[in-house]
Parts: sequence; structure tokens; C-alpha cells
Amino acid sequence: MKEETVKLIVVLLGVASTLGIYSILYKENKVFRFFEHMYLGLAAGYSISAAWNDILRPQWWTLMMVEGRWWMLFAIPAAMMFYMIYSKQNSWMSRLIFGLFLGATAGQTFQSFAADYFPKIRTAASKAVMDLPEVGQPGAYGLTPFSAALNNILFIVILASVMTYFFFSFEQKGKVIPAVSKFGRYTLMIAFGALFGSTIMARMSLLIGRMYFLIHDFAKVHIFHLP
Amino acid sequence: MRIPQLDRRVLYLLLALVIAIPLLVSVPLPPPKITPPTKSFYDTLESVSEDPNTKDKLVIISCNFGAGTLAENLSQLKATLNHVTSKRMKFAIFAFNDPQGRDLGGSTAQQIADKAGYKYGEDWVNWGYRPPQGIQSLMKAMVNDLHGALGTDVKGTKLSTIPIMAKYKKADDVGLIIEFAASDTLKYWIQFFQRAGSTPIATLFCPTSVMANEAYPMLETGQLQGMLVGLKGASEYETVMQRPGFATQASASLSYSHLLIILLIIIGNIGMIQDRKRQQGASK
Repeated sequence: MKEETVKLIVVLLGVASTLGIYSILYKENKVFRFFEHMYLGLAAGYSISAAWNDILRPQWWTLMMVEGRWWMLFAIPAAMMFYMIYSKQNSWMSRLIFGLFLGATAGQTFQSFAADYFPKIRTAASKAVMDLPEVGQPGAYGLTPFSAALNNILFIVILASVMTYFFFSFEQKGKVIPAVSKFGRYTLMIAFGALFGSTIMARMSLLIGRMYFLIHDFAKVHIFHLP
Repeated sequence: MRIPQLDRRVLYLLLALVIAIPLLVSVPLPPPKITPPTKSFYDTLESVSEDPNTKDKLVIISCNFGAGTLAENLSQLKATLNHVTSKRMKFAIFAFNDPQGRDLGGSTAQQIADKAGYKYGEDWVNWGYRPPQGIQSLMKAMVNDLHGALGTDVKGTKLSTIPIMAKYKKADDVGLIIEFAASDTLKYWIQFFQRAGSTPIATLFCPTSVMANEAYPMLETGQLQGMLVGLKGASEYETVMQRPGFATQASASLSYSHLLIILLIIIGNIGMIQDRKRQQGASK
């Protein structure tokens, strides 16, 4: 088959899939269900193929069968131990392997927590209003001195008020604490609004990508034969 | 007809038109303002490529996205790879969350590398895909032994026999990490690799726009040196690079679709207030 024909078939399949999936916007229909199930099947098949071709074959099978690392055979009984959870009599074997992995994961969690959160805590705790990093240094990312100072003030005020809002150990009485807590709640709402706005932008980007495909890759090239 | 009763399919049609028209005909739009995270992204890549301590080191291009976020992540990847290759930096493609990232990243890199005169195995390499389940252990192993931990490239060739990998053996040989992500994968680089060598490795982030908000604090803490926020970030980067591509073309559709959504939110709220007043009037 000619390369051009293959390209055309691929584009036509893409067009059919795109329109089929978006047909749900009109109403629930069988075409949408067909493409939805096809997508799920393709994704599952693709993952299995990747698991064998990228992981099991080069990292295990070839080493064991071609390079003679016979001890890699012990990966099979170790993996089988996971499935012993389905046997009442032998479920203790699954607990051994699960325990091993839980321990390893718990150990790594200490490192991941420290590397992820300690810099954030340190920055938050050491933030001074006029702490203005030089260009190129951490925290600078192109801010002017005025915007950096304003940013620092906002950071400190919002951090304190949001933490006040989430402080449930005592009843929030008086005038100051409830007011600070309320301000914290409003800033949280603004943050959720920003998150929602970003979500809209992400969804619009997906739609634009598909529309671009339909207009340029399909209509312009294959229907109107434009460059 | 009252606004809240408007058929939602009319809104979908409006949205489709607002997106399609700027893609069909040129619609005037001022050039995007370059935001600080994008500028910092550009400056970091420039400084790494010019610093004598880092310019000859490896750039890891981590492609953890699939077809679902092509519009955002692929635009970012193309713009970034154009910059990396223009600076003649050596790079490695790697995916550990979605196997599609291996193929999408690999094929895009191949196209751009061919144009830039890069040779596979000498100037760039594709490490392929590794499963996310064991990524913490893999990254920890990669810190001291890239060859042993990764084993082979995407073609099944041992890394130790690939010319480009001869001088890149551990985390200290990596000068820059660029993560293209559709989900929460940046953390593994931050937690297990970025600061595990003798000096911290500069890290840049290209998330989908929905994920960007959570990453902003990392720009403050120095865990990240720059970020391209979704399609908007890619459009800004194409502008900085003066190489317009898909993101630049799509920016008008993106802006006008946002305007439409804002307009619809306002109209929807006016309709809701009117309905509430009508109900209050009827109950009296």
C-alpha cells in the first residue's frame, strides 16, 4: 500500500474517532459508545504491549534467557506471591510480599516528603518582605523588586490567614480571629477559582487541538488540497 | 425563552464556531505578554547552555504525556526541543508514566533532530519507557549509575554501547531536567534526582494548564527554575523564540473561547438572578 494511502486512512480514522467521541455532546448514542469502547480496548492493548516490549523483554526475559542470568527466574515466584491473596490457605504468602513493598515505600516516603516539602516550609518560614532574590536565583523568576515585595507580603498574609481558617483546635471567638479566618476562606475561594480557570484553559486547549486536526490535517490537506 | 432554559447544544455550537473561525481566517490579536515563569524558563535554558560547567552535560527530556494532552504538551515539547537543538545541547528522551510519551516524544525529537542535523546515538538518545510503579527505586539507582539502572534504549541497544552515553553515567553528568507532564510526575525528579548529585540540577516544567497552579510555589522555593503553562506558555515561548507554530495559531482561539466562557458565566448569572426575582415575586 502506498504511503500516501496509509496517511489518508490514518487521518480518516482520526476524523471518524474525533467526531464519534464528540457526538456525545449532541446526545447519548451508539456511535459514541462504540468509539469509547474502542479507545479503552486500544489503551489496554497498548499498555500490555509497552509492558512486554519496554520492560519485561529487555529488563527480564533477555537477561535471563540470552545472557544467562538464571537467578532472574525467581521473579516469577515472587510475583506469584501477590496473587496468593485469592487463596484462603496461602494468603499469608501475599502478606509477605505486600509487607516488603509497604516497608520499602514507607522508607522512600520519608525522603520524598523531605525533598518535596522542606524547601517549601523553609521558604515560607524565612520569607521576609524585602527578601528580593537576584535575577537567576531561586524565587526570582523575572519579578521586579516592587512585585517581589508585594508578592512576599501577600504570601505571608494569605499563609497566616488560611492556616488560621484550618485551625480547629479551639473555638474561633472574638473579632480578629474570625475576621482573619474569613479572609483566609475568601483567598481559598480565589485559589479555587484560579484552578477552575486553568481547568477551562486545559479543556479548551484539547478542543482546539482536535478542531485544528479537523480543519488543517483533514479538510485543508485532503479535501481542498491546500499546502 | 429564559436564559437558564437555553439548550446546552447551542452553547457547544457557539464554542465550536468561536474556536474554528480564528483557525480558518486570521483574527487580529496582540502578541502575548511574556509571563515571568516563561521568561525564566528561557533564561535558564540559555544560561545552562552557556555555562562552562553545564553546557556539555546531558538534558533529560521527560515526556510523561499522551495523546489526550497533545495540544498543550506537544506544542511545549516542539518549542523547547527547537531551543535545545539550536544550542547544540545533547539530550535524552525518557517516559515513565505513559508509554505514549516514549513514541510521541521520540517521533517529535526525531523530526526536530533531523532538521537540526543531530544523529541518533551521538547527539540524542531515546531511553524509552519505564513503568511508574517502580520509578522511585529506578530514579535512586539512576543517580549513581544511569547505564545500569536504565539498561537499554528504546531500540534495545545497551546504553553502555551508545556513543552519546559514554560520558553521561550519573546524575552529576546531567545539566538540565525538562518535565513535560499530563499528571503528577514532576515530584519524582524533585524528590529523588534533582538534588541527589553533588550539585542541584536545574529543572524546568511544562505542565498542562490545569496542573500549573500547584507548581507555582516550587518557583518560589527554587525547586523549579521555569515553567510553561499549557498552550498559553507554549505560545509565549514560540514568541520569545520567534518561531511561530501551532500554539501561536491557536492562541486567538484560546483567547476568544475564554471570552465566550466569561460572557456565558455573566449571562448565566444574570438569568439566575432574574429567575430568583421572578420566583420571589410569584411567592409574594
